[in-house]
Amino acid sequence: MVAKEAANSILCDASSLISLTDAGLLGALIMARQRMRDGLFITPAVENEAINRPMQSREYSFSAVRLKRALLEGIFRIARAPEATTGQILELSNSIFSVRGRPLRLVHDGEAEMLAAAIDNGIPNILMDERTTRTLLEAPNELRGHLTDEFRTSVSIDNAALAQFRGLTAGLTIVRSAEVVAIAYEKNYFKKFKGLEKKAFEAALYAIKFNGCSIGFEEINEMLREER
Amino acid sequence: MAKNVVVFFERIKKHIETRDIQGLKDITTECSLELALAQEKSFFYTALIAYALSKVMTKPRYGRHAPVVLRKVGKSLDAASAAAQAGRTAEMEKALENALLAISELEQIDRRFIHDVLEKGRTKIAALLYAEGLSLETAVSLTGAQRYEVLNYSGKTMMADRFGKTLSVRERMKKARSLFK
Repeated sequence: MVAKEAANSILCDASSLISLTDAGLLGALIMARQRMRDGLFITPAVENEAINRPMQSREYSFSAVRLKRALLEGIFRIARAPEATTGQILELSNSIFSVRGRPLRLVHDGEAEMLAAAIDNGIPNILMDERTTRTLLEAPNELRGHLTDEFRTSVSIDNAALAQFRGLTAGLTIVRSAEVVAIAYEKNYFKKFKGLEKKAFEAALYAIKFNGCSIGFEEINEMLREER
Repeated sequence: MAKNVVVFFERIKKHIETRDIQGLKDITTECSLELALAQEKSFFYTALIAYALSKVMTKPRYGRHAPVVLRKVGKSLDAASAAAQAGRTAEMEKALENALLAISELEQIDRRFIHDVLEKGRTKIAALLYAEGLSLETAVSLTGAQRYEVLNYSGKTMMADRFGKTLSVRERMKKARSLFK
C-alpha cells in the first residue's frame, strides 16, 4: 500500500481515462497535472481495464498504447486498495437500495476498489465519468428517484447502510473529464488553435460527452457561459 | 432461477412466427429490466436472443437459410423452457447458448461488419443496464460487453441529460480550480 498521499492528488477511473483518450484529450489531463502539487493515481484494476485489456483489441489498442506510455513516463502511479475496505464498500453500496425485498446490486468490484483505494491512500479526489458511482456518492436520494422511474416500482432505501456508506466515503470529491478540459482551457491548452480557442474548447466538451462522460447538453452550455 | 423467464421464451417463439420485430425489441427492453433486478444470466441470454432475431429477421440476404435457423432457435427455446420448468438451470442456459450459436452461424454466411450482431447486442443491453442505473462495470460484467464500446454507445444517447446532474457547473469548477492551481 502506498503511503498516505496529500490533499492535491487524484485517483483516476477507467471511464475518464477512456473518455479523454478516445477524444484525443489525454494531453489536457497531463497539462492540468502539471498544475497539481501532488499526483495522478490509478488502481491495478484500472490499469487492466483501460490499458492491458484494450491493448489486445485492434479497435482500441491505440488509446491503450497512449495510456501505457503515460504510465511508463510516470504520469500515473499505482495505488492499491486492501481487500477489507473494498469488500466493505461493495457490501454497503449494494445494500442501500432494494426492490421487491431484494437488494439491488448496483456497484461492482472495480468501482468499490476505486473508492477503497481513495480512502485507504488518503486520496480525496476521484476523476470519474461513470454516472452511477458518482451519483451514489453525491446524491443517493436522486439516484433512488431515477431507479424508481426506470423500474416503475417502489425502491426502498436502507438508511443505516447509506449512513455507513456516507461515513466511509465522507470527504471524497468527484471530478469529471469535462472539468479537466475546462481547467485546461483556462490554462491555455487550446491556444494552439489560434483564434479558434473557444470553439476548440466547445468541440472538446462535446467530444468528451460523446465518448462517455456523463455531462448533459445543458451543463455544457452552462460551462461555456462560465468560461466566457 | 427465475421461472418467469419461460414467459419470454414463449413470446419470442410467437414473434418469430408472426414476424413481429417490434415485439422482439420490446422483449430485449423488458428482459434488460429483469436482468438489472435479478442479475440472472437467463434474462441476459433471452434479451440477446430477442435482439439478435430482431436484426437478422429483417435482413433479406439470409434468404433461404433463415427458416432453418429460426426452427433451430425455436427448438432450443423449447429445450430451455423444459429445463427451466424442471429447475435445471445449467441445462436451460446451455439451450439458450445453442440458440445464440445458431443465430451467430447465420451471420457468418454473409458477414458485413466487424462486430457481429451478438457483440452489438451485448453493447446495447449493457448500455440499457447502465442507463437504468447499474454501474458501468456491473453492466459490462453482466453482458460481457467491451467497456470502450459501452461508453462510446452511451455517450451518444441522452442518458446523461435525463439524469445525472447533481451539482451545478459553478460548484464543480470551484472544486476543480482548487485542485489545479
